[in-house]
Amino acid sequence: MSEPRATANLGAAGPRLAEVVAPPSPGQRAGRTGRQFWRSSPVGIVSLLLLLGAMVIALLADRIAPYDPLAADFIAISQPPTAEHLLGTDQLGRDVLSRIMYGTRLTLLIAVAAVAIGDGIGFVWGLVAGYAGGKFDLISLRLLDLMMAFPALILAMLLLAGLGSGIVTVTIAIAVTRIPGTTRVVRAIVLSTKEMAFVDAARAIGVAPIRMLARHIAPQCVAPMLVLASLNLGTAIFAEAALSFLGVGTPPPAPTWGSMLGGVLAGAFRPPWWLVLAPGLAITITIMAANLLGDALRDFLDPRLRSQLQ
Amino acid sequence: MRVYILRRLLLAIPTLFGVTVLIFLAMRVIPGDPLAMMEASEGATIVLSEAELATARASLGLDQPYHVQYLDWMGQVLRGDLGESFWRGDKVRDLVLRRGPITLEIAMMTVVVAWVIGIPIGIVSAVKQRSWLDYVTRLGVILFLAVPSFWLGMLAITGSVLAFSWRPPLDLVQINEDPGRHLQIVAGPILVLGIGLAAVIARFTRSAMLEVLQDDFVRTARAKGLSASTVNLRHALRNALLPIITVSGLAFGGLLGGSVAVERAFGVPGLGAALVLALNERDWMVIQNLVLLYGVIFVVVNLVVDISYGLVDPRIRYQ
Repeated sequence: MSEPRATANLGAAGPRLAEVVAPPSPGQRAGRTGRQFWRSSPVGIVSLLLLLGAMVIALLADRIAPYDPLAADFIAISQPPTAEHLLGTDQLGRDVLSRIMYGTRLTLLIAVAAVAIGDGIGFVWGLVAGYAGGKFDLISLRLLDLMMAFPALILAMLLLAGLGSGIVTVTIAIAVTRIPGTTRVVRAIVLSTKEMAFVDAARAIGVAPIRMLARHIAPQCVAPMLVLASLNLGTAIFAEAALSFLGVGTPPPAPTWGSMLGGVLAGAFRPPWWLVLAPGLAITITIMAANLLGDALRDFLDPRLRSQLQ
Repeated sequence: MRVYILRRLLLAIPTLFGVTVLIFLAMRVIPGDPLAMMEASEGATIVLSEAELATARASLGLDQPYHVQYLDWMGQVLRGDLGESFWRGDKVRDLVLRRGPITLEIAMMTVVVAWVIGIPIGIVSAVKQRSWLDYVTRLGVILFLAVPSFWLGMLAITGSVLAFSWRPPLDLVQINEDPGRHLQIVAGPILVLGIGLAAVIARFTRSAMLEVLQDDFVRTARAKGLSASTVNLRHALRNALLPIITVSGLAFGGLLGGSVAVERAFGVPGLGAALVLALNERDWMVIQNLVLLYGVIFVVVNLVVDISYGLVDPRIRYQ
């Protein structure tokens, strides 16, 4: 628990000296960082645990869901929450709780994949554009401007119009909307890092460009990337929810939180409040956790990022 | 100032050109052509034969090479002809004129509502930092940044139907026909979107004010005995306004996208509803031109934001 104290063991305890002086193993270091993060931001830890909890639900959906999420039960149509169906049933008599659990799987899968792809491309693009400069940088900037000339959701809809809707195409469409922001941030960091003395020093001893990017410049972008990925996760979940709610995202019958909200209020004389409440709460809580984790990571890793990544 | 505005206007032209090219490519090159896409979509109620396909292609000009198609499209758009729906044959121009005003009204009123709510809250929260008001504000901001506005709209409708057996009307009533009924239609979307945007505005107002309040000129203003309200509003707020305008402009894009879902939630027959219908029907001419319209509006808004920088901050004009 406590940090090893070198002073107490110096002298007599020869063999233990090595143990004390030895650098902490990766595990120890991770543990220490975790404790520091906890002290700096309990909210961040709680958010992280919430997201991990959602991922556990996603992974175990087939084990813990009480019903088949696709099985229609025409005897139990549109029932408010009961003992058998804790969150009620939908218009086809499908169990809402089970659909929420399976929905967690699909929603998180799409959101995480979209962030990984979009931020991955943005990261590499920003690194290269910032480091190479010149014409490539100029063309990149114009292209990014163009991608930002559309509202994100409209751009996603345009891409879906071209690609057709489906789980993969939704992921791609959302990923594309995440690229310009990430690329710009990474590019800006690379531009300022390039001017630093240690980069000059590395260049002076003849470090090749690829190695320079990988070993000296990319590590400077890791902290902001963690923050960006967390904030983008929230945006991606929102985008998936909005697109699927509109019926242009993930096609039925597979449930996502957004598609569960689609058409719920159409034509119902008494609106089924339980169908509105559950998926929306799932979306809101998850987005909130992602946002708070992003904020906490930003303040913990590098408070100077505040102005750049708000 | 005139030079500044002119330069901004000129810079917008290549962006607009790029926007049209991007839309054109997304609609055509990715999967083949729009009609092939229509065929490929499973569950389509209408199946076209080879001959019908060929005539349909010819009638839409899809048998032409790409550059001819693009120039044709641009020529039409510049003449104010936005084409027609593939399925129903009604003019997209009429659609825009009928449904556009309500969407534009919602978007603009949303910004007004967001400023009216967000800026005062942000100022108070910054001036009285670490007071209970500040904490309530920050909590509210965290909450409303996460709540999807279309879901908030669904909650509002559900609540009002269950409690008062009332829901907003679903038909399209322009403001000059019946102002009361019109207000019932637009009030919900405006409030729901406004609260979400107000959270963003309040957050930025707060952080911009906190930064400015530490500046020397604010201390000088206080030292020479100006009242707190003069210092906060005349000296601090005016300097904090720049990031607030930036964010409002950027948020406007989110607003345009978000309003599509909110319109759907409330059943408002605006442009967003038309776009979603077109997407579901794969009505490609409608999609192409509506997306273009959204893109153009967003570019224009960003232009206005750029120009208003120059108005608010004289330093920027001369850069």
